[in-house]
Amino acid sequence: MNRKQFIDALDKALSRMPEADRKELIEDYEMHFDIGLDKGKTEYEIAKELGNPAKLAEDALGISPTSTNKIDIRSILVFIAVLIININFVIPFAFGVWATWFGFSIGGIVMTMAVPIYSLIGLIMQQFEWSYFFLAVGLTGIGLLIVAAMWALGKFMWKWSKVYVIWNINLVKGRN
Amino acid sequence: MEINIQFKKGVLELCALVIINRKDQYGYELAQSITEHFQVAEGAIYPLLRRLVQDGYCTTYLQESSEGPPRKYYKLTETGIQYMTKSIKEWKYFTNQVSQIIEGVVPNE
Repeated sequence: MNRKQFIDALDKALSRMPEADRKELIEDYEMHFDIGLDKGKTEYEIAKELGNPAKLAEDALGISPTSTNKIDIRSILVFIAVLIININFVIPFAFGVWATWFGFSIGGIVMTMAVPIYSLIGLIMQQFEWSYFFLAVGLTGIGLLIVAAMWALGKFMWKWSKVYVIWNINLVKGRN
Repeated sequence: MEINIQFKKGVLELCALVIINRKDQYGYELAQSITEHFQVAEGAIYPLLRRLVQDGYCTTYLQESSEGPPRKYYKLTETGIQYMTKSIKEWKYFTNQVSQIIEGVVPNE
């Protein structure tokens, strides 16, 4: 079998696969041919090493999203359960947590601006007290700590939010 | 040595994970690395790699190569490394159990 025969056979056997996936997979094999030819092998040798295109297509189709996403009673029930639990509990809870995080972040940011804010107020009211100035400096320090903490916390929360969402999706899809 | 084809199919994923973990690989490279050790249809690598990416165990990136177009490299994700470690443990346990069964048969000869 030469390169064209191999690729044609593979393409035909993969006709059930979504266009974008099929194109990418075929490109992988084309690249394999390119590299092999570059290293001095013949098309026939490479096609032989790759194996039977019909079998390879079976392999690839067995794992294509359209064929492993079974929509059955189980997946529908899980989907409904996931929806109910998320809507009633998880989302309100997560919203509260994120809103709190947001509040602290904004608070922290504003605190870091304590010195300019106090200076502005002082300018407007024609007033200045060293004790309040140092208080503002202190607040700036605390603000910076809060912002740093919220930054780290935010990254952590975001990562685990993504993990949770993916876990939900896999639960519905039926993968472990 | 000719190896039972069913053994090979089951273990291809594990071998791929281990090899990629050691060093990021492009498809052709991985195929060669594996066939150094046992004969396998090199074409099976690509559906396997596709599945590993779909399952979140691998990511890909393109890297320029001195010979021709940029190559698609595969690397393991955090989850992929965890999965690999788990699979290695299972493999060791499983082959150990099988060996025990085999050794258990010997005295009866």
